[in-house]
Amino acid sequence: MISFKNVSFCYPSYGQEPKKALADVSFTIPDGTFVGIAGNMGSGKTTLCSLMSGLLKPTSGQIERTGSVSFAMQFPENQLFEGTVIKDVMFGPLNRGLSEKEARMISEKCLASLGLGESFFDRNPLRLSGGEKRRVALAGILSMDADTIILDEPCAGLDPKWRDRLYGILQDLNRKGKTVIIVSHNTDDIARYCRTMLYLKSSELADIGNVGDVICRHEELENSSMAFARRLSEAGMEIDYKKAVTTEDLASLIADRQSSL
Amino acid sequence: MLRDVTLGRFYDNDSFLCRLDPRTKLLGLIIAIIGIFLCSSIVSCSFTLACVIALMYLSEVPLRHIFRGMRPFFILLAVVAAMNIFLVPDGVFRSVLICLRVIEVVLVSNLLCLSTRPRSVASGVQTSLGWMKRFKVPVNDIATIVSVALTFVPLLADEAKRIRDAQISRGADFSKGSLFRRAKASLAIIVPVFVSAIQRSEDLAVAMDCRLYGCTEPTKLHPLSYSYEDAAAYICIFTYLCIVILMKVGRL
Repeated sequence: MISFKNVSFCYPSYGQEPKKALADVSFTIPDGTFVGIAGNMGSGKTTLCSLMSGLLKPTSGQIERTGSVSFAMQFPENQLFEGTVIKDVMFGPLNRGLSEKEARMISEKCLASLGLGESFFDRNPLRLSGGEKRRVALAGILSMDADTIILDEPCAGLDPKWRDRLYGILQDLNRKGKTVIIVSHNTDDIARYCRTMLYLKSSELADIGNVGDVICRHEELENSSMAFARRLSEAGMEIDYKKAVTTEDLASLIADRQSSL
Repeated sequence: MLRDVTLGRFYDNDSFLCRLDPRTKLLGLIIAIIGIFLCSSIVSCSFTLACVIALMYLSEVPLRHIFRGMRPFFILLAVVAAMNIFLVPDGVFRSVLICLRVIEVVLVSNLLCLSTRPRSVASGVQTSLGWMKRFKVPVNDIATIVSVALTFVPLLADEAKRIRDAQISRGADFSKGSLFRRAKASLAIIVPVFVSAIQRSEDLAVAMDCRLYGCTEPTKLHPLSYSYEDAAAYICIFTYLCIVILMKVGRL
């Protein structure tokens, strides 16, 4: 569980007024939730994640969290440093105090789940392609086996196949009871995979709730299925386009319409 | 400690020091450092210290920002002071003198960084060394290197902090254990920062090439020009130098 009570955060700034990154934010994320965080650039998403993971301390307000938290920052491939892929992924589990055998076992499992087989284990992570580096770094985060996993734009730079596969893995972890929190600009992905949505606007929490409800309440969050449904509605098809939060919703709306004709 | 790096961090205010031409400030820095190292008595050191304090006042930068850059030097100062006290005759006096000199040099350098944009420093270097072009010295390239280096220092410090946070979220602990253990743990920061720095420099080089860097002699959007304030500053700088030389000659 992660709970924020009137949390504000300011970054110190050289020669200027401190920059307010978050202002008076309050919410509670229960255990086992799949949360999506959306918001414009500079709205405070990354700061919120850093506060949730404990890397930053709030300027004011209170944060309560239960269980362990692991946080994958933007471009996690920049944190690779070991000589081999397997050693880099084992870094986290070894820091958790696992034996080398256990750490290797869990690391191999995480690498395999991200499509990196045995042939990658002894390769230098710095010489992999961008997408492979990203997957190694994400395997390093997943191998921490934390109760809450926070990922800041994990799919930026991944192709659609690996994006879907990563979301699939996160869904599996969520079904096993882990709390998963992702930051994404893609409201299609959030609508498809998340149950709860936090929407940040100008450093404030503009909305929180069920994904469909939040997207419906804010025009700027309109995703591709909703935009398509709106165009159909504008072209004369009698459907409530605001109900088309996901592609599946859109398909069922069209199917219902056809059956009623 | 990463946040303490003042190199390349400009404190944007409209102070007297901030308004001065970068060439004046660069020459002032060189003369200030020469003056500080010419001092060999408490009287002359007190005079240079008073000048540094006057510069701090003129910079209008809050003291916490100026002294933040001092923190990494405290260990060095402690070691130097200890070695002088125990190993050199008249050690207490010498260690006080050396510490004062180091503190003054660091303060003056911090003031230059805080009161001058990295680009202005580069522009100052480029104009000051302009005469070297006759001897085919690549002055423009030297100025670009200075500018890029000063701009990248705070960026790399921020990057190092970001990577440190990322490794902490993977369970790394940089504050516990023996010195060897901590040094080994810091590899988790040093390697990614080096990789990132090399990657950034390659990207920057390609971007500069794409924008025709080095094809012609670049013109300046804001050419440097002296003002009456610079004239006053030059008078002060040379008066300072004369007083320090007189003190040295007069063994004051």
